[in-house]
Amino acid sequence: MPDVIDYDAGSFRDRDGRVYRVGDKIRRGLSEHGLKDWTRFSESPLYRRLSEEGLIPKTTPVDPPAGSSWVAALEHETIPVITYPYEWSFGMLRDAAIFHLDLIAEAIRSGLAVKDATPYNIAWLPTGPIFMDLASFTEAKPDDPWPAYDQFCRLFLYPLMLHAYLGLAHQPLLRGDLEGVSSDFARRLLVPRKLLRPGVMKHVYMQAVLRTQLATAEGSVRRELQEAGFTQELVLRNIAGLRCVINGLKWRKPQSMWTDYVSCTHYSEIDTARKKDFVAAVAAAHHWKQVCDFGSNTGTYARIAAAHADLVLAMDSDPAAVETLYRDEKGAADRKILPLVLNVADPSPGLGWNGRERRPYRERVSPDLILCLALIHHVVLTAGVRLAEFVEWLASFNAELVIEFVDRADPMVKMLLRNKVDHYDDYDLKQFEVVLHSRFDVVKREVLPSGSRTLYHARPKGPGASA
Amino acid sequence: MDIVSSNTCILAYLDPGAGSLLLQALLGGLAGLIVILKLYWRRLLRFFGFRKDDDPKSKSD
Repeated sequence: MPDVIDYDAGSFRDRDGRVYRVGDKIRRGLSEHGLKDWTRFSESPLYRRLSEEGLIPKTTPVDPPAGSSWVAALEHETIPVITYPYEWSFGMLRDAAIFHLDLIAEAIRSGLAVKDATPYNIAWLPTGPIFMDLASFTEAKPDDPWPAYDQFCRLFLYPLMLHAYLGLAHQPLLRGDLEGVSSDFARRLLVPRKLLRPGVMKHVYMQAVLRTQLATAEGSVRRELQEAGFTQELVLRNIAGLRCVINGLKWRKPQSMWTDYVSCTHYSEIDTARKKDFVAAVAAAHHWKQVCDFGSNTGTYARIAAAHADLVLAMDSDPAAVETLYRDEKGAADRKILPLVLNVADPSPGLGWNGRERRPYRERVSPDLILCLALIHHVVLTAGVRLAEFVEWLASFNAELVIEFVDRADPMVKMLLRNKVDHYDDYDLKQFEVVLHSRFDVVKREVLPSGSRTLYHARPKGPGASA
Repeated sequence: MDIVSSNTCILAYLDPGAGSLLLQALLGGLAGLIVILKLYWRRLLRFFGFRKDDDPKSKSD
């Protein structure tokens, strides 16, 4: 009786290999062709170097599932949290692009080819990007043009350019279409006003024009290129050119109030000091596997938690705050923080084939501690989520919680309600505490000196707790 | 009509688009330009019937 294989919902396009789960282990089945590719790659100096530097997950051969058509299988080291490019900041996408380009160039020089060029092959760890798709390395054909150039442009180059040259956020664009930004879309935005910027004439304008002109071309341009003497040198030159362009793309720091949040006068120094102590006490009591810091802004509290955790996911809906945190953390000694762009009121949904190819945010994280500081007023008063439902959502993670309630006397709340009709009857401290107590046991409660903010440390009640 | 290449196409699932492939040669500087010129020269010869599509001598190595 053949085993029933639990295939990963995002792994289906490559007919030579497919990722599946056995318990909490990640494995990959290989066809005969896939096995040949794997053998070639795993015996190469490139593989050795990537392994030694920890740039690919540790991999060991295992038996393929009984009765399946796979001739071989591999087991990969599990990556703690998978994230997607629409959750990365500009700098993260750019560094991933450079990482991927360098990998492709090195593969070509080693006589290998990389099948594709997509950020979905890359996982972000707090220490930097790693390359996940080990079945991507295949035999090089010396006269083959690079088939993934178009894909690279759609998923890396154009989103980065649209930010650097026009100030557009890439996250909604990549979330909106898993294929990325088309050359036509990029052309309409960048041409003609940005035509003289590095890379636009070649990679945007010319590509859009040629793609349109040759869309209905008969015959195989690929074969013609091969016959006309195309070489890998041309590919390497193109890659070097792309690398140069991407290196020059700069993050546009906006006039965002949130990155100046820390210097905002409404938050007294005494309050901040007490808040830090409170969070530090909770963090230090235990070693956490995974901390989710919602609304992490500049990462002050994420850093406090990171000293006592394996991994801290520092999430904020403001891409500028996430980028700032990413840059600050790059130089840090002990990197445990993974910054991500995420709106708690609109977290990444399931996307792609069957709505499962890219999994919903909720399924990819399993924190044991959640920090929800200076956030609840934004979720209820700005996003309009009902207070009780938000607390229910937090409870559903079954993790310990540090939460800050900001009441109506606070200047920030006053500002949020400034131009609105205040119909938020559910937003008050008493109602909040009722809901909190129904799902959590409150371990500690402290009113901050300013009087308008209250901190709670809470533990989830058992599975039988009533709603 | 497209004639199946003698090179097995391993890089299977991506559709790179003819335009993007051609552009790579154009981006390749002088060496790329030579490739483009050869490509169009061969097209010209084919047009005038001086070269057959499946001519084995046409594959340069």
